[in-house]
Amino acid sequence: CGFHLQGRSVLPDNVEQMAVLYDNDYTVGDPEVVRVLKQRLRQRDQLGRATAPAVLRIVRVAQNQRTIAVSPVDGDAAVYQLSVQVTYNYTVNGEARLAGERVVAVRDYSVEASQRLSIDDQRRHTLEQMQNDLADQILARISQANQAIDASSTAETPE
Amino acid sequence: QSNSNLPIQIESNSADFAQKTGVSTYTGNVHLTRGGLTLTGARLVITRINDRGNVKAVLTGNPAHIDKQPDSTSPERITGHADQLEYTNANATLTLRGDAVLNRAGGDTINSPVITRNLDTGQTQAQGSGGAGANNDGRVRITIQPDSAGEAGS
Amino acid sequence: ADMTAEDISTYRGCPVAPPPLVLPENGDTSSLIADSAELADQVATARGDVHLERDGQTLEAPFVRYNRATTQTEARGGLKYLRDGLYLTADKGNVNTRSRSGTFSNVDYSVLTNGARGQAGQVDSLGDNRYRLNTANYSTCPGPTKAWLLSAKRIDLDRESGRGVARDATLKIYDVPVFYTPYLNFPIDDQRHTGFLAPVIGGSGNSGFELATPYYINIADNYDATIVPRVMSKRGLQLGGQFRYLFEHHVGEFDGQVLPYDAEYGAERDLIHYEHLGQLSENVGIAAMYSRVSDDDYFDDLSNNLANTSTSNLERSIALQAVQPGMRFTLLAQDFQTLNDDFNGLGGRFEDNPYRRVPEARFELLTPTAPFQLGFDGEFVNFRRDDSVNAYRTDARPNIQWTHDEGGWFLNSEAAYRITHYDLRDLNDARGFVTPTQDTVNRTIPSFKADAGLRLSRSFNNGWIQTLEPRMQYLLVGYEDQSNIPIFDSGSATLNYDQLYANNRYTGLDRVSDANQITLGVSSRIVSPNTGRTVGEAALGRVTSFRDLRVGLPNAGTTGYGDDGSDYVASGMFSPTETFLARGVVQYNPEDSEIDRALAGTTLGRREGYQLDLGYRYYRDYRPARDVFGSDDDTTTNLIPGQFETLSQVAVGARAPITDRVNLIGRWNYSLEGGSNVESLAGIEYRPSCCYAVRAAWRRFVADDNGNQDTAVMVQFVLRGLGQFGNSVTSFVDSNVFSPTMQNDSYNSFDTISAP
Repeated sequence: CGFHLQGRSVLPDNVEQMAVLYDNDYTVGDPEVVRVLKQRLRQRDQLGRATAPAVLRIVRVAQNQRTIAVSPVDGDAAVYQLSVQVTYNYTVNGEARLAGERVVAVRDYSVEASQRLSIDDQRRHTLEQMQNDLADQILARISQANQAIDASSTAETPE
Repeated sequence: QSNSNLPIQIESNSADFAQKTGVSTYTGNVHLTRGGLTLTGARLVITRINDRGNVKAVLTGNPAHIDKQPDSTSPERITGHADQLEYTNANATLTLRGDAVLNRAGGDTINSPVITRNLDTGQTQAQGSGGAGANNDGRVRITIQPDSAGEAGS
Repeated sequence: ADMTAEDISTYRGCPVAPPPLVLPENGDTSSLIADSAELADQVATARGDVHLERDGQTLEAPFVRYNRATTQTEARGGLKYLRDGLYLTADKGNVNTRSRSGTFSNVDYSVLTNGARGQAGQVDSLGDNRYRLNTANYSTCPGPTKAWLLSAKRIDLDRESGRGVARDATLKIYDVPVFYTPYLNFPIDDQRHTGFLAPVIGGSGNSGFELATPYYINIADNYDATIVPRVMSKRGLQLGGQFRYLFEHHVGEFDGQVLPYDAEYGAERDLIHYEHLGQLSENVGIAAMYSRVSDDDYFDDLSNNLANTSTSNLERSIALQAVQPGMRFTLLAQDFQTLNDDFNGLGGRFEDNPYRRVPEARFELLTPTAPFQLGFDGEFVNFRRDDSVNAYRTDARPNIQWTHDEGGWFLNSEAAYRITHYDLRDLNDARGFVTPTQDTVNRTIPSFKADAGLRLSRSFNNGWIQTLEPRMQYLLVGYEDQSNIPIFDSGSATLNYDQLYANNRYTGLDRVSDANQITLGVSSRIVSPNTGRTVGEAALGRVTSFRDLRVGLPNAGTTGYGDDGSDYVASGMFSPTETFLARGVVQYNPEDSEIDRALAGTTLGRREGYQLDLGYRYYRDYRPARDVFGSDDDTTTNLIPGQFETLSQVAVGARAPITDRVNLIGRWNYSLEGGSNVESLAGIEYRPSCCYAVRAAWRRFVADDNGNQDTAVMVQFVLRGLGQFGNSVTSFVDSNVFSPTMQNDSYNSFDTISAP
């Protein structure tokens, strides 16, 4: 039915390593999406330093929680909706292939408004799962962008 | 000390005097100088107005030029040109007629159909020919260079 | 709050007629054209249709006297004058073109930047960007009779500060005076400038008629403040304030509100909220938060924003975090203020005030290595709560992980050993289905996980790509009876596709569920060729248990797990174009053969034009049932053990532009359980002319603890070019009407209750 295993590398043919960069003036440590991206590349020994030819810069990780349903019984919050949006740039040898690219994940979860410690723990885990999922989507998008460019470049320089 | 007693010198390729009518005509590379004032053109006609030495000079050329250096009568430097220049030494008035251009000290440039200037007092009038043409050609146009605004403090 | 879909700039009105003059191309050479001119020394006097261009300004008049040196210019007999941003005609005037200062009389002016226009007895130009209009009128409306017009003894327009200030001003609507003010300060461009923001006119059942006039102070470029005096007919005068700061590595905000005497409530009421986030050093961060209100019904009475009224406890916490590669240490102290009046819970996690963590110390390690990773999660917490069992809980979870990722397929596994120790205090206060017998409890739980998956993809001829990712996980977690451990931070997690692969089906650490199960799942995504946008998504999965699950959670309601495994979880999203999106989740319980959870939502339409949002949400037994009685201020809530509340709500949201002048907005949130309205809203936005808009909205929503509804009416006049009067209707309609996936940078969607 046409399905084939995806390749081991998400990088262009002639590129061995990619750096994952993130900086933030107000928080410390990497958000989960950056940690997972680094680990995925490390597992395929493609994680490079900042000087690597390919650079994936995570520009912004924005998280937001909103009340999307309240109980008619006492007006307390009943369903929260979490959304995470990651904005990133992908450059190869200084040339931008993906600039200001955005990917969004949305999840709902129901709560008993007063069980605050349980809600906080669920929020933390759900956000981690969402960022983990977004990391895989970013790698898939990068591999798609590279294939498009590799295909067009091979077309330009026929043997 | 008024301007009237300065002598007028005229050079030209040829000259023709007509004592009877008091009109003399000079043609060919004509130069009229009087103090710091120099008028050059192709053809000059001088008519005597009275016997006290007042004359009216009409110089034509394409165009005729005026160049006035600062002199005892007025410190301003003037250059310009027009199809025809008229000069009456009695009241030191110069009239430029026909596509006249006059450059004043301090970088002003006046374009106008007719410009009259009293060379002693510096009083200048520019007169349009009415009926503003499509691109203001019948109108008076004064252009002011930017640097002139700075040092023209007199 | 910003505007609804089509942003109406409050500072720009109708375009003015283009001036008949043209600015000189380059500003330095200048020229004068006239029928005749006299020049004496520096002064030139020109007559007859004079046209002067100088210092970037153009002047036309029948008579102009101009001093070449001082650039002082006098014009008489009806002049036209143009410079960047301002065009005027006047009887006469004089202006120094270099200093741009001057005076014009009997003026007719138009400000090109914001479309303002009017007449003035005299206009003084006070330098490059400031004009003073004396005995003037000001409007941005076209035509002879102005929809609105401000006439004032004096109006100062300052394009530097972007503000206009009117003195002794009367606002006229179609020449009928409606409003007088000795002083009025309004925006004439969109920069952040000190001055009054748009006053708020509104009304609600709780507070009666209300008027608020926020004043914004741009103290410096890295901190600003807003003062909000607010008058409420039923309650009195309230003063609110917000102060924000932004430094290189620290950002924070302080909000305060004080109502010295609330006539309806009979006492003083206030609110304090403070937030700070910052880096103390390269790898040490601090996050602090403090909220306090004077009484439990503060939000129910004084806020018409549903996100506030649905809050039940306010957090106060300070957290220090130190990081090294692969390691993170967190020290947290956390407490809450609870807003429910009297709430008879069931003890344990069913009390309305959560346990305080004073403190919690957490250490997380996961070596950034491959293919092996050593991990360690350690945590010490001191749980405290009045008349409840308290505890020191120490938990350690060393683990080792191995991963092999070939891109097309991956394998990873984890072995872990969790040790937990509880020192319990005040055992006799224990309630909540748990009666601990001794004051120390130990728990040791080994676990093993093996996870494998394929990543397949195929591309269609036109470049579309579909991915297919089957995944299988075996999880083995040791069983230990935890029924005598009181519950401090555990609860049941809402099931979703990712949660099927989680190590523990409960939140927190007080319940670690036993497991001998296999999770099978598959997910697929269809991606468009050039933009990489996901146009379709689907996922299906289920956990199959090889033996009955024994670790339970008392009075848990729907957990999504039964004896022989979990519910089937299926989710999908389909968005073929930017103007259509449909999304759904279904969670089917095979044991009880019924639906535990279902979500469905569609969004049609485009940001500027017509839009329809439909949403349905169904959560079976999502929380303990309760019966609530009593009046507004003292309600009593009794939790009913063993009974649960089901949430089943329909949400409809629509925005319909009737003509290009009228926009109707509406939203309706209806609860099928108990058949009551949760929130209904209708709003109209009327833009009859480019110089003003009127917005009105009526809203009825669940406000109080006993489910009573409150009604709020909001009116807003936007006099474009003079600012906005009346509160922003968007304060309770989402500022942006698109659902997240369709409009990347907005997370709100129309069928929801607004965010704070």
